[in-house]
Amino acid sequence: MAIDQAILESEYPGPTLRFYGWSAPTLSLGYFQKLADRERHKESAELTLVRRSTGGGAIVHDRELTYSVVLPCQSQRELFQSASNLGAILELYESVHQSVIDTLGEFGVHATLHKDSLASENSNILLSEPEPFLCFQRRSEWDLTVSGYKVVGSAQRRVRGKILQHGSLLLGASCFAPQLPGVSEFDRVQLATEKMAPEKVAAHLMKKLGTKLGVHWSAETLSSEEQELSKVIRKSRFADPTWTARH
Amino acid sequence: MSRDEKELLYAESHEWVDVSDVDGAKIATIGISAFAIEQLNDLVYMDMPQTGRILGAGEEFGEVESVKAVSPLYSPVSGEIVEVHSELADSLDQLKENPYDFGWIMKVKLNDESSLDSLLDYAAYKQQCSEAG
Repeated sequence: MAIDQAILESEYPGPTLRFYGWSAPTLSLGYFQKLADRERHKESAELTLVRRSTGGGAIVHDRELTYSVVLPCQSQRELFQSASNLGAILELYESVHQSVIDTLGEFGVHATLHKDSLASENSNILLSEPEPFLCFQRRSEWDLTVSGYKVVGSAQRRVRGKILQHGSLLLGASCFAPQLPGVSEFDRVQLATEKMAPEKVAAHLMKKLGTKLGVHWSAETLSSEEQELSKVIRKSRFADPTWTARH
Repeated sequence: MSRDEKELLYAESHEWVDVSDVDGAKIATIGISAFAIEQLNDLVYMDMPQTGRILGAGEEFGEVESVKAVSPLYSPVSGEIVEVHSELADSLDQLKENPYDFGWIMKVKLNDESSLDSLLDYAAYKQQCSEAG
């Protein structure tokens, strides 16, 4: 989380795509979610907690591939004009999620955007009020579903001139969120889990997203500025209990 | 008394500004334009600023969440926050119906009136919105 934020806040090196995993299963809260709402999900009660800088619902990060992408916008005005929307840049959601659909297709998994499946599929999650605590139990039209289950949760944060989108592709169900199947667990798919190793999925996704965005990715390490800034951000925000308890 | 959107000033980042004289001081009342609220159609959260804070023009003063994106709000003017609309964060559904009266976010006592010079009038702002749409 701190590294994603450091890439967003550092001097811009160009479009940046990052894949990562988690050293231990972790629950992340959306930026505006109330800390007390964590009690609504008992299965993840023991997990380490972090508050994201991005919006949306809580995510149990366990058997997943986590991605982040940082893209430029020269000015607030250009950002607006490119998006025709002040909140999310829906085009970025669509580009990433369409690339994930194409990637999953390489593994024999048929995924669709929720807006395309609304008329044809039954949702396997009962949507209710108040809004579900977990991101993967919420639905918006750009979400990505397999057999009616949401399998990618993404969220964005803007700063002046740049936007971060990060998200999780659920590869398998976590014992800390057993109600949420991953893409390797659908009966119709019948694929071996090892075929969907995170590294393999990431390689396909990198290629497809690069084509979609018109970007040729090259492997880089974090700059010294990004490394230093991530340490500062980690200490002052993500590892700071007052940040976690801010809402 | 209702504010007339045609009489307000606007920032490129879609905040509106209504400047008035109060006891010899220039007070800017600030909110988000109707066009912006329309675009933010499912605005779900807003972080409000603190009274007493000194802002520079262009400085971030709050954040909003819409469609899972967290976006900053920028102060169009320079000065001290003297009042905050504390009811607004819990009544965001009313923003759309009444962006220029109920929808005010904060009042700022200007310390540098030159920050008003870069703001747009209604016609220029409408032009920006039509180019964006």
